[in-house]
Amino acid sequence: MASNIVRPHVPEEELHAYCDGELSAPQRVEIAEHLLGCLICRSQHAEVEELRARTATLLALATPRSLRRAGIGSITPKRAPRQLRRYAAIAAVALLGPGLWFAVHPDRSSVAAGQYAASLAAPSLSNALLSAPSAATIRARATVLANLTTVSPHLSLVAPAVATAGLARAKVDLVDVDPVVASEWPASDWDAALQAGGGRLDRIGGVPVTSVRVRGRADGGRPTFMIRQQLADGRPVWVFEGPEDDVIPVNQVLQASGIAMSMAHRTRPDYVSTNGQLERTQRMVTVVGHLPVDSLNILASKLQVK
Amino acid sequence: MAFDLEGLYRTTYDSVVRFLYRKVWDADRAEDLAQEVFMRALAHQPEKPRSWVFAVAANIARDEARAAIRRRKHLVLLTHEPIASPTQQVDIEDGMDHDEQEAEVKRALATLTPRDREVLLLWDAGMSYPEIADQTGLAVGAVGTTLARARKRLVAAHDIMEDQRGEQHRATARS
Repeated sequence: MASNIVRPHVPEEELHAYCDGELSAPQRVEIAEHLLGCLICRSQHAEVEELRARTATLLALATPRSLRRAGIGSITPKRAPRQLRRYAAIAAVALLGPGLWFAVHPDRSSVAAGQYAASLAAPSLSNALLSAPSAATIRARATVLANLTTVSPHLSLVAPAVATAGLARAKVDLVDVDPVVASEWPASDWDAALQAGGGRLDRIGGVPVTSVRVRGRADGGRPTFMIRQQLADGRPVWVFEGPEDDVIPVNQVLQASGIAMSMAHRTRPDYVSTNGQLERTQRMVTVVGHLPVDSLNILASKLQVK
Repeated sequence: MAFDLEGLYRTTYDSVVRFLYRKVWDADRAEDLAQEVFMRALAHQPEKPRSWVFAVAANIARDEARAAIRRRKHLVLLTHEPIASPTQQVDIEDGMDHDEQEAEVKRALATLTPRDREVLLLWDAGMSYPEIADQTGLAVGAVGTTLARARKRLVAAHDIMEDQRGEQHRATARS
C-alpha cells in the first residue's frame, strides 16, 4: 500500500471552504493531497462544485433589471444531468486515466509526474506553496487505485482517436503536464493546428501558448484541440476546442473528478473540412486549469480568435 | 489612508444593490436604500468600509422590512377604498419567464432560515468568511457549515419547485 495512515474524509463544510478559496495555504495543500488519493472525497468535491454553480446561477436570477448583464436572463438554473452525477460517482476517471498511464509508463520523468500531480490536485493553489508528491508516490497511489477500481470502461471516454495525417508530427518537444493521456493527443505546432482548425482557433489573448495538441477523428471530421497556455505566475491553463461530442465527454470527466473548469462555450458551426465541405460541427471551448471556476469563466469569456 | 468613497462606490455599489434587492424585492427601493448606505458611509468614514457597508445595508433592509409590515397593516384598513390602494407597477415588456424564475428563487430563498439566507447573500455579495463571521456573530469555522447548508437548502427547495412545475405541465398535457 502507498500509505498506512488512514485519513478521515474531508468534511463537507471544509470542501465548501476549499472551493470558496477560504482555507489557509497549508490546509489547501492537505486537502488537495487528500483529494488526489480519495475517490469518495473527489466525488463529494465535484458535488460541492455543482452545488456552488447552481446556487450562483439561481442567485443571479434574483438581480434587479438595471444590474442584469446581457444573457443572464436566459440562464436556466438546470440541474446537472443525471449522467453527470453518474460521472461524479466514477470520479476516479481523470486520476485513473493518467494515474494508470503513469503506472504503465514508469519511465516518465519525475518532473512531469510531480508537476502533473500538482496541477491536478490543487485547483487555485499557488505553485510556490505546493510541495508536489514525488513520482514514486504518484505511481504507488495510481497503482493502488488501479487495483481498486475497474479502469477500462471509463478510460474509453477519452480514448477513440486516430491521428490526423500530417498533424501527428511532433514539432514541439516540451516536458509537459497534460490533463489527458498524451499518447492520444499528438503534439502540434501552432501553425499546423491553426490550419487544421480551419484558420480559427480560440485561445486566451495575451497569454502565451506553450503547447498545442491535436486529436484527430476516425471519420476525418474536425479534430479536437488542446491548447496549453501559461499565466504570468507559471500556472498552466488548458483550452479544449472541438466538436461538441468530443469535447463534452472530456469536460464531464474533468468536472466529475473535481478539476476546476469553465462553463462550456459554444460557437457557430464553421469548420471547413479537408475536402472543402462545410461541416456543421459544433465548436465548443472549455478551459481547464487549477484556478477557481469563477476565474476560469472570466478567462473563457476573454478568449480571442487569432 | 483617506476614506475613498468613490472607490468604495465603484467596487461595491452593484453588490450592495443586489444584496438589498434580494431582501426588499423592489429594484427602485433597493437603489434608494443603497444610496442611503453610501451617504451614511460618507458621514461615518468607516475603517473597514466594505464590511461596514454590508452591515449597514443589512440593518437598513431589516428596518425596511418592519416598515413594510406596518404599511401592510395600514393597507388592510384601506382595502375598501380602491383609490387609496397602491397600484402595483407591472412592466408589460418584462419577460414573464424571467419573472417567474425570479419568483421561484425568491420563494426558495424564503425557505431558508434568516441566518442561512444572510450568510448566503453576504457570500454572494463578495464577502469573505471572516467578514461574514464578523457581521453575523458566527465563528469563522461555522460560516462554511452554514453556507453548505444554505446552498443545499436553496437548491433542494428549487428542485422541488421544478418537480412541481413538471407535474403541472404533465397534468395540463393530459387534460
